[in-house]
Amino acid sequence: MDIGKTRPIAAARTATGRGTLRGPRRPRPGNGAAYVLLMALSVVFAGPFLWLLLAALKTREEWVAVPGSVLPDQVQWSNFTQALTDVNFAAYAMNSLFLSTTYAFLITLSSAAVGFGFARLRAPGKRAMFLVVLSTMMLPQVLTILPTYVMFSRLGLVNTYWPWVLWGLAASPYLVFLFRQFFAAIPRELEDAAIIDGCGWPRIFVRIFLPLSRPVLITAFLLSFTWSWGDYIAPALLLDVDHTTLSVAITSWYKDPHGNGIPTVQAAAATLYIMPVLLIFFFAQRHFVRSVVGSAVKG
Amino acid sequence: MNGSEPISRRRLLTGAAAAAGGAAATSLLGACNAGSSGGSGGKVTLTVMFSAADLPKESIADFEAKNPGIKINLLEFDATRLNAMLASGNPPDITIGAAVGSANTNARGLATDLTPYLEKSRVLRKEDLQPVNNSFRWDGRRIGQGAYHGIVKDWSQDATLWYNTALFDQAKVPYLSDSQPTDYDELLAIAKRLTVRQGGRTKVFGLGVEWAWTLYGPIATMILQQGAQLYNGDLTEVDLTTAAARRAFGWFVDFGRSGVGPTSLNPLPDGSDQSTFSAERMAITQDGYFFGGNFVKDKALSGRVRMAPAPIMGDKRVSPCYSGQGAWIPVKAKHKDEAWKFMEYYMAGPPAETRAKSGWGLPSLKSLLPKLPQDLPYQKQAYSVAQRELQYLAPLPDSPYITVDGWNVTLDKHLQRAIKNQQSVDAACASVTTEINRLLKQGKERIG
Repeated sequence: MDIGKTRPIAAARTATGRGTLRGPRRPRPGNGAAYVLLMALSVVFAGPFLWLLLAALKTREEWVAVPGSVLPDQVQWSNFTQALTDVNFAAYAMNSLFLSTTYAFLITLSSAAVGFGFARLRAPGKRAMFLVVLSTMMLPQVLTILPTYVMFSRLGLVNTYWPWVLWGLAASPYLVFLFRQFFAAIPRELEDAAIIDGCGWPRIFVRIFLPLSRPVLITAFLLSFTWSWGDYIAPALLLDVDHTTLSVAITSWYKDPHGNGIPTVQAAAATLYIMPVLLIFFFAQRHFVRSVVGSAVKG
Repeated sequence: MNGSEPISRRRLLTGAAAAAGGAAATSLLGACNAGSSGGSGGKVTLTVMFSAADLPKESIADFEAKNPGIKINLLEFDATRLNAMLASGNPPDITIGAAVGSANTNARGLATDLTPYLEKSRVLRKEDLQPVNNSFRWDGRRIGQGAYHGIVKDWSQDATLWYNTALFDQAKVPYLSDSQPTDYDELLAIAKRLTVRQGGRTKVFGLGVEWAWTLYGPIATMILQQGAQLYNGDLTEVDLTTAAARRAFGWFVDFGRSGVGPTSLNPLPDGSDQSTFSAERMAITQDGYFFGGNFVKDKALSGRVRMAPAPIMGDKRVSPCYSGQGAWIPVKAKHKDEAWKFMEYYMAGPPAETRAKSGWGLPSLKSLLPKLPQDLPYQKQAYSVAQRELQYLAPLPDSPYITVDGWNVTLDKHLQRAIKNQQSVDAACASVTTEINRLLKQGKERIG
């Protein structure tokens, strides 16, 4: 580290009353309030998950008890056992994993390709097309459910995983926007040099732009994986009982013989269900934050 | 490529990657077809849309073993998916549905007339069907007569009561009669005595009416019990401003204001009375015979529960079924004969017998009634109450121009306002009348 270069800056900062770059931070009056606010928000966001976890550890009677207790009297691990054995949890988890991974992989690549096109290629009407793509984000999914079902039914694709492949290849407007913003910020000199070296556009995309866009690739994969993992409507509409996903199984099958849900077992199953997504986010959050912030400021 | 040319490392890696990619793509394509219901070795694939909880894998295997030419493809019941399948002209071969409310489906011509099948069947015979199946009958104008368009799987006298004797003892309230119905006003008074409040919260509810399940069922029943009619002759209009309707609606307003039981303004965490009643936090629940199935494994609670007849508002005893889950075969089903075979198996075969023995609801066939469980004292008591209630079964009115959901949403909205004193009972009944008549008019215009 070149101390000689940093000292004048530090001195200047101290002189202007803004503190040093690397020196010990002085507590600011607003920091305490900010931490309190952040802690309160953490409780608000973590609260539902903790509540779910505690519900999963209670008996059905404790679940409805008044006055209720926050902690279970006796921890009911049996709810987790029941959640794993009442339905074929592992098989449905594999279905969910296969479907979500396939979909996320394909849609990440297709969205990157479309985003690259909008960011770097020239074509008449490109701007209008981009607006059309963005405007489809405004279309609520519920409006397209019936037509989508009818279309896949007529194509003979109901009860198969093909709709997820087709959706994956069709790109997502939001991810296209994300990639377009990211690619637009990459210096044009890079592609000029590649063109001079004889690279075609597909090669420029694969060899230059994709390797540079790791954070946004991870973010796109994470977002689309999470969306597909948590989706209930599409698998409920398009898949049969043996090939459906965990979201449908958890919603539909932890019930007594008369169809009443067993909330504590459902809570246990739901806790297991959200674990993979939480873990993925935990390990990938650095890339996620970086790419979202980056895409927001570039353009 | 020259055969003697050595393979470079790069070429080897490229080849290996291509082979791995190809293998992955092949397996991906194979996996994508995993759920396809295409040909299955000359067998007919019967698409069954049921609740998977109602159709265990053992029953599917047993049916397929007894019918080697049929393979079942089970779809979880989902109303949106059923509508999509009907709209695409590719419906399931057989699906579930409630008898009460089937007028709408039948008037739209969606369900197959099962009468010819019933007349030929040696397993499912018309004379063996419980009268509750009449709600699936449709003559082109009204339910109760004409062709059968569905068969009930199991059902309950849904207005009957279950109560916890220990909570009655604690409140020093005499037990309800096994044979005589309790008047609704008296029931509300009893519920108030049974309700226990602690620290501003309700520790024990006096009465649960399964508010989240149906409001149409009990209010229509109360009107029938007073000898009045809900609909006009051709089921195109209602009038809830009559004295009978206002009394029924007013009872629910009093119930909501008294705080003796859950309502949509004060709902239970899981939406049904079962958990709360089992936790001994509810003294009475209006839940029907099927509810007894909950107590078989709970030895302690099973010694403290009893069933009581459907309460009454007026002079006419009516102990109705609010739903009556059953099965029907869509008109455009591709494999109707095979679907009927499944219907026979499910409604009169081993699954029906298993259901009857479990006590989760009354069987749809008269011949299966003796199979109901009577091993435990509470089961015997409930059996005798249920037997006596059979004579008071009457079908609830069912207009083809409105769904039960349409009724429930409208009633709930105006009950909430009346309970919160935002409108009077009379004004609420007038509003319900206006809104339901608007829905009926829309339904009439759609169906014709």
